[in-house]
Amino acid sequence: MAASGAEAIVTTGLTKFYGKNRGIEDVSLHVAKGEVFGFLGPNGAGKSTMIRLLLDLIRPSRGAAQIFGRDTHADSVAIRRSLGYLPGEPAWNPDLTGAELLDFYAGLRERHDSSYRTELAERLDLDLTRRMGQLSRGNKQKVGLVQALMHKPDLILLDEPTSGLDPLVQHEVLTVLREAATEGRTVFLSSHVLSEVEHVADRVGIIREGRLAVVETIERLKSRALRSIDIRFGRAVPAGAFEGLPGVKEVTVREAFAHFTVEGSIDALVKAASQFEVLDIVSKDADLEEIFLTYYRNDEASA
Amino acid sequence: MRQVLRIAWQSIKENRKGLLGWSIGVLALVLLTVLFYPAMRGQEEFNDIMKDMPDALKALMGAEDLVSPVGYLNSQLFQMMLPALFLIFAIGRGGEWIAGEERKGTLEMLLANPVSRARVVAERSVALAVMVVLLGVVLFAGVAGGAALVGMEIGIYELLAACLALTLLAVAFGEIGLFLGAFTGKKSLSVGITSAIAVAGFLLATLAPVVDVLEPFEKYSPFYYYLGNNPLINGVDLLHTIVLIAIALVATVAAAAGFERRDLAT
Ligand SMILES: Nc1ncnc2c1ncn2[C@@H]1O[C@H](COP(=O)(O)OP(=O)(O)OP(=O)(O)O)[C@@H](O)[C@H]1O
Ligand SMILES: [Mg+2]
Repeated sequence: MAASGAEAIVTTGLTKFYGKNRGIEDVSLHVAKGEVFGFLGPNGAGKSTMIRLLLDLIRPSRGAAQIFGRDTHADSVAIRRSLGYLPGEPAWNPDLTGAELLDFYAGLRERHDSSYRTELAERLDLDLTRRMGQLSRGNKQKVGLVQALMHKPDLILLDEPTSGLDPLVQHEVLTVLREAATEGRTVFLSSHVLSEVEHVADRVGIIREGRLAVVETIERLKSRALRSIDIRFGRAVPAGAFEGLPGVKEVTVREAFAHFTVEGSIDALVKAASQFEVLDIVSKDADLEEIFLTYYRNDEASA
Repeated sequence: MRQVLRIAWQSIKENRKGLLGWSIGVLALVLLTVLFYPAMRGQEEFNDIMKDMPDALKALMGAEDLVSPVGYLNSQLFQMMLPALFLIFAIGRGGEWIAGEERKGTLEMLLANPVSRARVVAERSVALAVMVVLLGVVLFAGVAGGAALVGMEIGIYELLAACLALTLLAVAFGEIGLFLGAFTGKKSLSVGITSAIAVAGFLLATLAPVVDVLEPFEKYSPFYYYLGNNPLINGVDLLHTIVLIAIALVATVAAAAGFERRDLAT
């Protein structure tokens, strides 16, 4: 394990209960400096809880967290000097313009770079002279993003950063985050949409009902990927011919059509199919969405 | 100043329209009341009417004397009307600035910056005090100006003392509201309880002199340190001034401690 100096985030047994309600439970996670980490989970899984714990907005029931080697509670103010945060539902005084708001935050942070702020606003196509109350949801979200990024923080914590943004802007945001990582800054972003972090994250953690179910690199996740294969045969085939083949998870045969879900190599399946007349094979890479669901399904099966 | 007290400055700036509205309201009330004084001057029979009233009612209305400049100002403004206005303003701000903004989510945005919760509480309590002081200045100017216009004889120093005492009373209650909001995270609870304390305190302080059972408890009411010494006649009471400032300071420190210990609500 790397020295704590190389770690942006370390949590050990981090647990949060809201009274009897489970927030997160026993989350132990390491995020390296300069990494883009995608934190994934469905609604209510505990993503916001995790991020708000890191910010010391809420306090753990058990366990602890460090950011850049410092305790998130004891050294909270010092940590927040090198932090940028976008909450899941950013809210502001509706009478302030974007620029007034950002000026205020910039003053509190000492460290800030107004040319980068201008660049961000331009790239996200955001008008900072309008009042927050007049902005659409997506444009408010953009102000939140500029606010979280403008001072070039060492750690960027984003709770569902691309929600409410159109695809073009979404893409631009992910590009900005990628650039930040290239400059050695760390990005921790939550999402329920896997496709959203797939192209930007180095690793993802999947949280489910408060527990960290999986932490994997994107490549490893994909190599464990399920593939969906549809085969059209010349005539009806017996389902039994494909039972128990290595890697084949699911078989559905309807006369001359068969659908398979395969993990890893499809060699055995192709060889078994070749004893019949094959008219067509369609193979689809499972995207992360399906992998994600598989993890859940496996989890549920074992539970 | 702006460098250090950025949050206070921003809070005042964001509330400047509200403060302007309240200032206009206070000014209008005060001017109308004072300009009406000539109609009252010399109407001693009003005081005769008061003589037959029960003591408790006289105490609540603030004066046995409605006709002298001091009696008129006390009964019409300083006894009930002005404390009600100033306290509503201060308690509202106190409840809003931690608990209200917490509920709205704007406090979370602020706390993502490198500022401690204690600093947020301290700066907002300063902002609250500054806004109430500004309202107090408007009050002083309104009464002094109106009195000059209608030739109402009133000591400027004593008027200043009354405005100061009222301002400090409102600041104290505002900080109590801030404390309850910071402690519980619930604005309506904070405003409700603080207002209830204010009403109880008002009744206690005004009725204690005429109701024997209440008398020993008089000094537990913050209002005692506002009107107990009748500043329009006696000027500044140093001890009373210190007590009001102490209430505000203790409430602020308690607010910081109460806010520090708990989770920020979503
Ligand atoms: N203040 C609170 N009081 C009680 N329970 C809470 C509170 N905040 C969150 N929870 C509960 O904790 C769990 C995790 O919530 P959290 O907001 O962290 O989920 P999330 O992953 O961010 O969900 P979403 O995708 O909907 O934003 C949920 O079951 C939620 O009901
Ligand atoms: Mg959330």
